[in-house]
Amino acid sequence: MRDDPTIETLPPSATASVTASVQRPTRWSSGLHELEGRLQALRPVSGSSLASLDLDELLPLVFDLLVDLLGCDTAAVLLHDAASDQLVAHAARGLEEEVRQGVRVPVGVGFAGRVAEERRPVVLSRVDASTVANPILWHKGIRSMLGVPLIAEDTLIGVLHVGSYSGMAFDDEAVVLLELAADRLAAAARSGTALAERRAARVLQRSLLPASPLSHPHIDFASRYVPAERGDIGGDWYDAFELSTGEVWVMTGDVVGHGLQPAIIMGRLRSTLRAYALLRMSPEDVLRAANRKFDLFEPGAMATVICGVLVPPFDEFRMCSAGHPPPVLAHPGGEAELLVSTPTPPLGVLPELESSSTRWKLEDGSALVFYTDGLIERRGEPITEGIERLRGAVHSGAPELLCAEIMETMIGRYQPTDDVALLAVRVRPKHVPSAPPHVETEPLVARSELFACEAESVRGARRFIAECVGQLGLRRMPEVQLMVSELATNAIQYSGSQFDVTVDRLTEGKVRVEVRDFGPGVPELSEAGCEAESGRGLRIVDLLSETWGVVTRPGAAGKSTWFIVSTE
Amino acid sequence: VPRASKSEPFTIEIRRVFPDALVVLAGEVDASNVAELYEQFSELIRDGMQRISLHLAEVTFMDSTGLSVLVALQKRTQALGGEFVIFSPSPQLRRLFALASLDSYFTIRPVDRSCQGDAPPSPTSTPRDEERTTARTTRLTPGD
Repeated sequence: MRDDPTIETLPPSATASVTASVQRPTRWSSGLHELEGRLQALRPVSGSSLASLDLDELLPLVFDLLVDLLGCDTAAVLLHDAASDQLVAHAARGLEEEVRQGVRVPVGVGFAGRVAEERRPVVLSRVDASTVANPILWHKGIRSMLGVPLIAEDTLIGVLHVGSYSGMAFDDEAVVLLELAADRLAAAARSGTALAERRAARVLQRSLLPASPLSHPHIDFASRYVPAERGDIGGDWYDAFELSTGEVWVMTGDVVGHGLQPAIIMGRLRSTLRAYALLRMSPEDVLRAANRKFDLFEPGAMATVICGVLVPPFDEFRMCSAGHPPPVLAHPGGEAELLVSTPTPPLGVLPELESSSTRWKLEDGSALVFYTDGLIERRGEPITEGIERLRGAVHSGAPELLCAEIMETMIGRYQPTDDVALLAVRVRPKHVPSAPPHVETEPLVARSELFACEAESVRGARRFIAECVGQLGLRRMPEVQLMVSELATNAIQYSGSQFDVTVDRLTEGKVRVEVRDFGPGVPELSEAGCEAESGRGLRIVDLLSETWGVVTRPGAAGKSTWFIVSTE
Repeated sequence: VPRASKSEPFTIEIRRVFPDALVVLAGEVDASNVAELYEQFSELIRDGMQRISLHLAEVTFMDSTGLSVLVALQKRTQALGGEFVIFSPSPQLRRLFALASLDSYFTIRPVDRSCQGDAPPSPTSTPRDEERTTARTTRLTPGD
């Protein structure tokens, strides 16, 4: 077929030949000038891909120009579908049936297929079953055709072709004209696709991450998700859910890669893990089964996953990891540890996964931190350093506070080059901690003030703390004021006594605040639901402080409620 | 025993356009003024106000005593088939709502553009001019 004298394959015209051909007066040369000018007018002003017209806005304008300037009767664009290696009719003028009937042509077959395969302009001076694959073309009575490939950044985007009922001879100038239009369309298609993919990935990611932390009577959750600076979404996710058995499952993972594809795979993997968890499998069986599915249905993909479960009464955490960085566990008052389980490769590496889970004890108030590698990775730094820095930042505080502190320590002003996902989980303290404040060294500064048993004293206590803490350069002023306000209110309303407020600056950038009253009654931590009209005060102190507690003095009325916050 | 100064006044401004009421708070909300606040809200409900808009942009501080009053108001308006909407809380107040897991319990809307001038903000449904003239405005400064 290629030796057929009616088919002419032309060399792609270079920019130089554009100039040369313009100098030769031909019937299209003025048209070429005009097309260049009019295409120029369609170019984005700022050069940003966002500012450009998208392909579908551009196509009718370009078809108009071609019909106008070339005098052709039909024009069509077919786009390349990489998955099937076929050309799919996308838009047409005078050949609308092609689009309506969803014409598909394999690359290498027929006229458009040949343009795509050879990536060169092709001229047809005879249109019939021997030269074109699509019968619509000859049924329409098209007698001559010219096609050029749409190529952007060396990638085949599709084919643009024009046709003539009168068998018009398409010459070099016509080729140059059509190539100019093709360049413009290819660029628009390329940037449009990239933009659409980025948007789709972002929407997908947002729909898959829990919008607000899980609300649970015994476990507090908080999370952060920050996409990488360059804006490409990765396949990072976290998940936390409660089953009807009361088990609370916590998962974190990372599908390797960036863009829409990893985000889609992440969505499927998340559903897979949830489904297996519902089948009452153990964490290791969930990972084993998920690996089998991953290996079969996501060839070439790879993902690291943490799969863990907290079983009522939440005194134990059982976890299995597939190549994911270790979570961090901190008990109240203790140093944080890394949860290193049996080394297991990521999903998608081996057809069968040898996995086993490890158990860790949990206490009232223990906190667990899960994350993806964007949190701990820095260019030019071993990953172990990042993990160690994270371990140092984790304590048994309330999850929301913990997330804020971890992001501050680990990210701060750094612009992450990878996505960062972070999930903090804490077993909610069931009792008011009764231990006295543990202080290793003597307070450096101490200030104290006594307040009357009247409502105005609450504001007075806030003013006092603002003054003290302002001198110490404490950054969390609004939070400290809120906690003092809560404790002062409790002293007045529940103990009905005057109270004093003492502020101690401790070493290691910490401040201890103590509110002491002289009345009866010991505060209780209530399970305040949304509808409760009281009982939130101590819960707020619990959520905002690093540690806190109540100390009573045997044989004497009154008590001290204290909390410690970090000033850094 | 030193007594606290009442340096930053707490104010409640109420505008009624039946059955809408607009409440604008300013200053610090704590144990010293929540009773007053509760009383004002109760009066609005007693008088049949069904839609209460609460503007918090000028509130510089609130603790859990303030939250309790807002929760009570939300429950009462809901029980009566009415509506209670909170407008433009500061980031600090939003954080307080989130800490108490009340951020999705309340209906919270961002800054109402009509609130940005010197003129007092208009209620959620803008009253017609003749209604505006009949609106009763109350300004209270507790302690005066």
